Amino acid sequence: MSHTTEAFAFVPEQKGPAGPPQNLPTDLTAAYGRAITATTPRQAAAAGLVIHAEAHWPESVHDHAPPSLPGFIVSSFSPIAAETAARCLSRRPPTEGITTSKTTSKTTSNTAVLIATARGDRESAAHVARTVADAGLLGPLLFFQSVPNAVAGHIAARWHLTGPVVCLADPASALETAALLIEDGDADEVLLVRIEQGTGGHDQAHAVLLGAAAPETTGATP
Amino acid sequence: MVAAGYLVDADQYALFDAGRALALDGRVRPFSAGRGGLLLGDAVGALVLEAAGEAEPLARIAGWGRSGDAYHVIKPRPDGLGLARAITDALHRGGVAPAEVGYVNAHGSGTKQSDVAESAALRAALGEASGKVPVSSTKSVHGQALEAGALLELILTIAALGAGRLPLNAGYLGPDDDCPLALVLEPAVADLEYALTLNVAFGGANTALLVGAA
Repeated sequence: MSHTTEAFAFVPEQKGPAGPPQNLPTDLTAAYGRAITATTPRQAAAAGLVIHAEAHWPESVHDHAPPSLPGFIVSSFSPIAAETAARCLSRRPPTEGITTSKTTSKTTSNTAVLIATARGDRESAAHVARTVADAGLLGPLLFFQSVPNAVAGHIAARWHLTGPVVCLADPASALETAALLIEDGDADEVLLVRIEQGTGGHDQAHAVLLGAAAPETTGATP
Repeated sequence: MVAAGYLVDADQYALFDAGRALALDGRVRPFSAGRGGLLLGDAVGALVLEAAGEAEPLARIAGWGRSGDAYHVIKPRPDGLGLARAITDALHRGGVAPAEVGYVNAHGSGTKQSDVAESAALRAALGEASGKVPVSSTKSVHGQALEAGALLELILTIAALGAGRLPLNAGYLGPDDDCPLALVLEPAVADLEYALTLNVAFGGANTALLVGAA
């Protein structure tokens, strides 16, 4: 466990400020097929939530590979999760007590980080399985990234999000979990990152920043 | 029904070995001087949760808390303040004062950093009571059961409440000044009203469950 906190103070390059797209651009949709979604505005509204910001991976034809993420190797899973989360959080509307400014990034928010992935980090798992089957030796960095909690911890530390850290293997239950975290008062907001590797032959992610809907907007039908 | 299971497998064993997280002396020694790390263990558990009603329960979930450290990919906050928030939330939801907690089933992984941080969390959340409430990590007996660990330890905590007996903190060699806790080092009986069970995970994920006697 030789990595220090400073080693993870890396700030991914921001490729925004593109507007928050509801879906992939048309050319990408054609290339990638149906995009995965963490949730939609209608689904969120039905759960009493609103989407404050969102981001996708990929968002343009330039999104071939995510920025490298120090401490994470072999797989694109964690770098894509971190990059998509960074894009989403950088688009968060200004809120009293919460800022995305790098100069005041010590400001914290009681935001939960929720990673939802049905298949998890397939590249890392496959690499570990091959290495063990061949009686090879694994590097210590693979221990750090052995669960999706690790990149959730990176996101929480980088953005000073002090709410609960949760990982779910059932993306269909993610919205309900997010709503419960807010309703119970465990979090004021939830950063929900849905990520799957190899969807349609490509990696995809969708991050949404969820908050409680104003009372008059709750109860909408999906 | 809440169920969880984990059986030690070659890939996870290799990963924990690569991370130098395993106890080389083959013993898990939570909160002890000379502790060297964790050991993986098999576990499968299940319990039934239901709304309070007429059925006589084994125990009650009296409070809960969960928080994030916002500190590091895998390391816990050294000051334990993330876990302390989870503990405080659990006590607040249950309307229970620190002095009313009769037993803490700690996360107690047996690693240097995690045990120190958890001790700091207990001091921050329980105050003076942290030096008096009996604490043990049952990982000293069953090992780190990963995905099944939290549920297994909740079940053991419920069993402790029901039996009025405190699980041992096994493998103890001597005190660590950074872990000033009232560890359960000998078999003991206790008339327990409330107990806490704590768990932490990579990414700074912290949970605390306050369990009340039936």
